[in-house]
Amino acid sequence: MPKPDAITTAALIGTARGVGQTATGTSVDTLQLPGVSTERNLLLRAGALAVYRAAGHTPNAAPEAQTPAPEETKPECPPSVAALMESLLGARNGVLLAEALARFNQVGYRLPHLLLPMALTQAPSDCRPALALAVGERGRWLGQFNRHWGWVGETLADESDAVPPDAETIWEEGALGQRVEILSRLRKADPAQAREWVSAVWKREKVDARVAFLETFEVGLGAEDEELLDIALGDKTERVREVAARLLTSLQTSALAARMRARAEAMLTLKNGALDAKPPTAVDAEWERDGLTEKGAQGAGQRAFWMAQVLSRVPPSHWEAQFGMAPDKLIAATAGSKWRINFLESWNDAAGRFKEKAWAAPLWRLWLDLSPKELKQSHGDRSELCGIVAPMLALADLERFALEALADTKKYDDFSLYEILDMLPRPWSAPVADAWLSGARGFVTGITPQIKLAEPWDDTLNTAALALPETHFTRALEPFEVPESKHWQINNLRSQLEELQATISLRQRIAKELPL
Amino acid sequence: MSTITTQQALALAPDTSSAQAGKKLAATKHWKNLGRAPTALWGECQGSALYQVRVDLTGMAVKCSCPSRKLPCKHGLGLIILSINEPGALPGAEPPEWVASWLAKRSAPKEAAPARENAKSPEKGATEAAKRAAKRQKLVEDGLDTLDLWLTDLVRNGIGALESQPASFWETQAARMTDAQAAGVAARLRRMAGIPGASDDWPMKLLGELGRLSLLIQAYRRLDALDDGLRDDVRQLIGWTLAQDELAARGEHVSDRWTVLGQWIENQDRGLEQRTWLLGERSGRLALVLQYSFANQPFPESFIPGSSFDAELHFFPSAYPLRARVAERSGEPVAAHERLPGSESVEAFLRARAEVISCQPWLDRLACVLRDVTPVCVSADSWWARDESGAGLPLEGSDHWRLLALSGGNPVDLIGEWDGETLLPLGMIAEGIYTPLWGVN
Repeated sequence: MPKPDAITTAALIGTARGVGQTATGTSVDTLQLPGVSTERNLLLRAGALAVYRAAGHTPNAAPEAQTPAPEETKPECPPSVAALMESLLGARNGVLLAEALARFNQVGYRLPHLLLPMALTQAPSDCRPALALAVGERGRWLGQFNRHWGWVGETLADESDAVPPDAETIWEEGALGQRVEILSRLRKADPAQAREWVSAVWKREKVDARVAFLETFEVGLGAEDEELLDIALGDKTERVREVAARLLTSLQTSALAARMRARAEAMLTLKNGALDAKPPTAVDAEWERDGLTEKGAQGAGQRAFWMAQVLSRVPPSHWEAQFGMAPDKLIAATAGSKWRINFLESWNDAAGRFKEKAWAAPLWRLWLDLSPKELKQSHGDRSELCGIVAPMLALADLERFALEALADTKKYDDFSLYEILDMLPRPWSAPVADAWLSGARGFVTGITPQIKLAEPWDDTLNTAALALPETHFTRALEPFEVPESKHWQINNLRSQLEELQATISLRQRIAKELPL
Repeated sequence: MSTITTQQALALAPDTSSAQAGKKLAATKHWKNLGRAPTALWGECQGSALYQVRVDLTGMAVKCSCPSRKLPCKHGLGLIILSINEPGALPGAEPPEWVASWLAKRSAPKEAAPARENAKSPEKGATEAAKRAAKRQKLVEDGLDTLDLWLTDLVRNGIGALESQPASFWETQAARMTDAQAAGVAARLRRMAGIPGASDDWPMKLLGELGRLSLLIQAYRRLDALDDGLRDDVRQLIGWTLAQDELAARGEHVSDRWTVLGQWIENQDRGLEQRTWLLGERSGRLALVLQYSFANQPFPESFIPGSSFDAELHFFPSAYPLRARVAERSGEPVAAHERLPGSESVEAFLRARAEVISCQPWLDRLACVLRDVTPVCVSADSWWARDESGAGLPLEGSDHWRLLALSGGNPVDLIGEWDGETLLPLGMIAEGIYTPLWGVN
C-alpha cells in the first residue's frame, strides 16, 4: 500500500484515538469551518480535497504504443461473405467452416477487422491453419497480444508447399508450429537437408519438438534416415521411441524391418500348399525396443497376440515373394490352420498399415463371405474389418457395394447403411447421390406410424448433409413429405430432415458466395 | 407495562443478536433522561452517539435515531426490557418535545385520511402536494441527519476497519436512504461498497467519496445560500426528481442535430440504467440522457450510436446542464459525420473537465471524444489510450480486442466516459466508420 497522506491516515486510524496532523498542503487548508465537530471538519475537508484533486488531475504518461500492424496484402471479403463466415464461426461447425475457409483462401480474401477477435477466439483447432491465412496481416499482428491467440503466430503466412527464402531463419528462430511447417515443406523438396537440420539440433530439443520433427520424416522416408531414426529408437522418452519404431517398421531397408521379417518368418510354415503358424512361446527384450510394447491377454491368447503384433508389422507383399503365391492363394492356404483368423486379421492390419492395394479386394471379399462362426473368433465385426481395407479398394468396387446397399438396405445386414456411406470419399458421385436421394425420399413418403423406426435412413442424414455434391443441392432442398403424425419418432425424423436441409442451404450459400 | 413480560418483549426482536444486545442495554447505566407517560416510554441511550429512543405503547412501535435498519433496534428493545425489569427507573413525566411530536405524527394520518376523499379541487390538490412535499422534505432531512451521524461514527472509529465489512454494511445504509427518499444518496453509498480493498489507495478514494457526500449534505442544509443552478444540482443529487412539466417549464430548451456518441447499460438496484451521450452539431453542447428499464421492459426512447437526429432537448436545471430529456424529435436518424469535434489531447479534455467540476463539484462521469489516440495493450488486463503527446488515460475493463483490432495500433477517434480513474470506451471511429464498443456491465 502506498503511504497515505496525512488526512487519510487520520481517517484510517479514527478520530477517537486523537487527531494528528491533517494539513493537505493545498488551498483546502484555508477553509474555515467554525462550529463543526472534528469528524465533520475532517470529512468536509477531505471532500473539498477530492474535488480539488479531480479538477487538478493531470494526464499520466501512457505506456509506449506497440508497433502498428503491417499493411494488408489481400482484399477484405464482401459483406455477404463476411456475414456467412460470421455465422459459420458462431455455429462452431468445424466441417462447414473448413469447407468455406478452403474456398475463402483460394479466392484470396481476408476477414474484416471487426470479425477478428471472434475468429481468433472461436477457431476450432483443425481450422486454425486455414484461419491463420484468412485473418490477414491484422489478425496475425493481433495474435501477439492475447495468449489464447498465440496459435496464429505458429503458422506460416501462406498455405503453399513452397520453401521460403528465409526458411533457415524460421527454422532457427520461429515458433514450434512454424519450424515443423518449414521442416515438412523441406522434407518434400530436399529430405537430406531436412534431416541434417534435425540431426544438428536433436540433442537440445524438447520432447514435443523431437516428436513433431520426427513425424515429418514420414514424407520422403529413405535408407539415409535410418541412422537418425536408430538414435531416436534409443530415446529416453517413450513417445519419441514409438514414432521412431513406426517409421523404421515402414522403412523396409531398415535393420528393424529385417528383424521383424525374421521374427515373422520363424513363425510361418508352408507345407503342401498349406500355411500354418508356430507362434512364439516367449519374447526377448529386443521386441520391446522394436516397438512391440503392447501387452496382450494372458494364457492361451498371449501367443496369438504376439504373432499378430509381428505379422501386422510386415508388409503382406513380403509373403507373396517369400512363398511365390498371390494374395488370394495365400488367404486360401490358411484354410486348415487353427491360427487362420489370426493370419487374416494381421494381414488385414498390415495391408492397411502398408497401404497394399493388391490385398484390399481379396481381403474385402473374404470378410464379406466369412461365416458368422469364423467371424466370431476375430476381434472386430464385419464392417470394422472391411473398413480397414476400404480406402485401398478401387472406387468403382466400393461404389457398386454402396449402390447395392442403397437399393436394398437389408442386403448387407452386418453393416449399418451409414457405415457403408461413410467409407465413400466426399463429395459423393452422381449415381450414389441419386440413389440416396430417391431411397431416402421413398422411405420418408412411405413412412406410417406403424413403421416406428426410421432406420437405417435416419442415421445417414448427417453423412448425406456433408457428402451430397453441389449438383444435387436443389433436389435435396425440395420439401420432404413427412406424413402428418404426432408420433415422436416421426416428428424426430422431420426435425432431422430440417437440419439436413439447413446444412445443405449453408453449403449452397458457401458455393454461391465463394465460387471456385 | 405490567401487561407484557420480558420474553414477550424479546419476541419483538427481529433476530437473536438484537435480542441479546437489547438485554445488555436494559441497564440504567446506558441511559439518560428516562421517562414514561400512560402510552409512551422514552430515553436517551449512549451508543456510538447519543440516540433518542421512543416507544409508543399503544402499538409497541419503536422509533430510534440510531442508524440501524432493524425494527425494533436494540435500543428500543433495551428500553422496553428495562421498563419491565426496573419500572422505577422510568419516572412518570410529561413527554418532551421530541417524543410528543412523534406521538402526534403517529396519530395524525388517521385523522387526515377522510380529507383525501374530496381532494379533487385544485386548491386542495395544491395544498396536498405542498403537504406531501413538506412531509418528504422532513423525511429527507431526518434521513440525512442519521446519515451524518453514521458518517461521523465511521471517521471516529477509523475507516481502516471498513475493508472487512460485507457489502450489506453499505446496502443497509443505502436502503435507509432509499426509505428516506434520498435515492441519489443511496446510489452513492452503493457505489462506495466497491471501494474498500479494491485498490492500493482505497482509503484515499473512500475518504474522498465520504467527504464529497458530507459536502453534499452540508450544501443541502444551506440550499438557500447557493446559486439557482447549483441548488437544482444539489436537490437532484440528493434524489429529488423533476416532473416532466416542471422540466419543460424550467429547463433550457436546445434544438439541434444531436449525434449519439455512445451509450452504456448498467445493472442497477432492481433494473437497468442506460446512459446515452449526445453531442449537438451546431451548439457543441454535450447531453446525457438517462433511461431506466425494469423487468426486461425496453427503454422508452431508442438511440443508435453513431447516428444523428434533429430534436429539441430539455436540459435539467443545473450549474452545468448535462442531463437532458428528448422532448421532440423531427425526421429520421442519419449517419453521423466521419469525424467528430473533440479533444485534441488528453490534457485538453482534463482541462475541459476541470471547468465542469468548477461549476458542479459532484460531477461523476463525463463523456469525451479523444481524437487521434492509439489504443495500447500492455497486457490483457492493462489497456491505455495514448495521445500524440504520449499522455494517456487507462481504460476500464479488459476486453478491448475490438478496439485494438480495428485500430491496428494506429490512432483512432475514441469516444469514452471518464470517471476520474478509468476511461470506459463507448465507441470509436476508424477510417471514417463509427463502431460501438458497448455492452452491459
